[in-house]
Amino acid sequence: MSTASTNQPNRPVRRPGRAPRQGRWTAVLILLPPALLIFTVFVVLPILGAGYMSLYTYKGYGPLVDWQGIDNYVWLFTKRTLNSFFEPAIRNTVLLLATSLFVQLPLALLCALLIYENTPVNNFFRLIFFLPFVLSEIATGLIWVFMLDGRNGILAPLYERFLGGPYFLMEDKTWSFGAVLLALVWKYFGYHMIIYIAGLQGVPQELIESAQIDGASYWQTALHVKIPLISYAIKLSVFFAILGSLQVFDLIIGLYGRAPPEEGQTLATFIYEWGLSRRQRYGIASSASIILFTISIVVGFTYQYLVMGEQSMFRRKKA
Amino acid sequence: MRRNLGAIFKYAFLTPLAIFVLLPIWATVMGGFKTLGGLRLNPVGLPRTLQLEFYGDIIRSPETWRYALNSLNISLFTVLLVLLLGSMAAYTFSHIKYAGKNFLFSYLLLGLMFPAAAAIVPIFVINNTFLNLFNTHWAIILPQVAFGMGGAVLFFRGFFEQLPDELFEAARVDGVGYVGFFLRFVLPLSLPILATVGVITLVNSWNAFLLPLIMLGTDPSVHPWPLGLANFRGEWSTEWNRILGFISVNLVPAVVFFLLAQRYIVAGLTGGAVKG
Repeated sequence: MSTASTNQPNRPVRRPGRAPRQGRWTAVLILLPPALLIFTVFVVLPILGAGYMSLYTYKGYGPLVDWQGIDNYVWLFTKRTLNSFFEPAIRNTVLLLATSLFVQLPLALLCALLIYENTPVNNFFRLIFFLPFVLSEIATGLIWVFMLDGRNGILAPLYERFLGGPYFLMEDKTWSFGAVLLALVWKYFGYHMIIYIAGLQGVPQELIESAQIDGASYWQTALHVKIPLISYAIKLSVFFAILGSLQVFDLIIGLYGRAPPEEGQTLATFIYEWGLSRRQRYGIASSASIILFTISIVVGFTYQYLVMGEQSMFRRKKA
Repeated sequence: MRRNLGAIFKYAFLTPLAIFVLLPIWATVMGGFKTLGGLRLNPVGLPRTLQLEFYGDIIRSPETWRYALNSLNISLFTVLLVLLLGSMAAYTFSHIKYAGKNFLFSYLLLGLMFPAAAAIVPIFVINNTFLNLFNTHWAIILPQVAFGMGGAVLFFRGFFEQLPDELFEAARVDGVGYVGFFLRFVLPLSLPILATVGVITLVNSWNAFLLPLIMLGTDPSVHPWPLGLANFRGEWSTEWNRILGFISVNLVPAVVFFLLAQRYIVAGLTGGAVKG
């Protein structure tokens, strides 16, 4: 690195008149390392560390000695005890993904199509739908625990009338995860709607008008003109929805408390439960981390290259 | 006629949806004004008699303000570091030619795809064993900055590239170096993007729960607000009127901030959504 340092008089200047070359490396060496260092230490090293720890039995202190090979991974997929949680964690993650993509995004798109034009009434609805986005997931979870509470919640009178007594959804093993899905859509559909609205506001008015002159109805215009023209916004929001639903954690704790039951687990809560909360089995938690990481990376890259293609953030050309 | 039908459909759809979104927030704020019995009889409506004692207790409690200060401390340092380190790195990507630049840029972008939840166990070990940061706010700030770096660099680079080249040429003629140009021209001209990235980082950090949960012990004096909410729930378990009051007090800064900074939040979320 030092040989490339500054002010060497005999360094050839390839393109005089373009960007100055003196002080280039000094500037890079001042400006770049802090970001690289903090990113490497707290993002990249931990992922590598998880890969390493997943091959051992580790108690959180002392050297890693107890080599396990892939046993931790095998354990995750074969252990069938009541408290192993991994199967429900995978199942719930799939449920979150499906709800996010097939309920939340269509709802967001429909709202965006209805209120993307700037009128006072539309702005008012936009503000309301977007509001839950700024609340923390913990607050969101607690609010919904109250709403659904069998004795104090707003549904309590209905439970009383139709079920003959209080009903506690969060304690219902079969249906409690529905509350997570409900809270997820409640909190985030406005966020996706905002992304679509930004896209729709960029659709040239002439295209919409010419479609209408050709006799296209409102919904035909939406389906054949507007939606195709905001394909980039849709692809982007699908990307964020996928990556987001893979790591839902706070919402679960808000709704179920600090030790979520088997039916409330996600991949993220599984990692917390096995690594940091009570069980202190770092090897197991690390294997689950690597599985989560691998799914995210594979899905993320495949999506960027296959779906986003030329619009991928990794390929974006200099403006 | 068709137009009217369309409008009827539109509002018949939007109005119930708006009620669905607002009702939980409304019920939460009103709940803090009710007694427990009043809440049970009337979970949604206006309180029959305004009970101010629960909100009074919460606002007078030093606990509430300590949670707020801890949150403020963590999120302000996170924002400051994300803005500073992110803009510095992004400037080298947008204005300086050097070998390996594209590789390093892509390397930082990976952070957008890496799930933070997959890194928590080793982050805990690193903070705890090697850096001795357990139970300090730095144990939260540093990983938050690291995970915010990818998005920040992406936004900053995009903005910096739009700055006119002539500016750079002119500064160069005046003998201004790279670092000087960054500090004296790029940063002052980038206030809109600094605000956008800063606001989004602030919202994320203010609401973060997972990292504080892991990195802080059980002593509530260092806990930020999201942990405080969970503590409060544990403390009062079924006294929903107090819990709702506490949540409401927690919502106030978020909602006020949302109304003030809405423009930047929207810009931060939709930056790039219209491209392509």
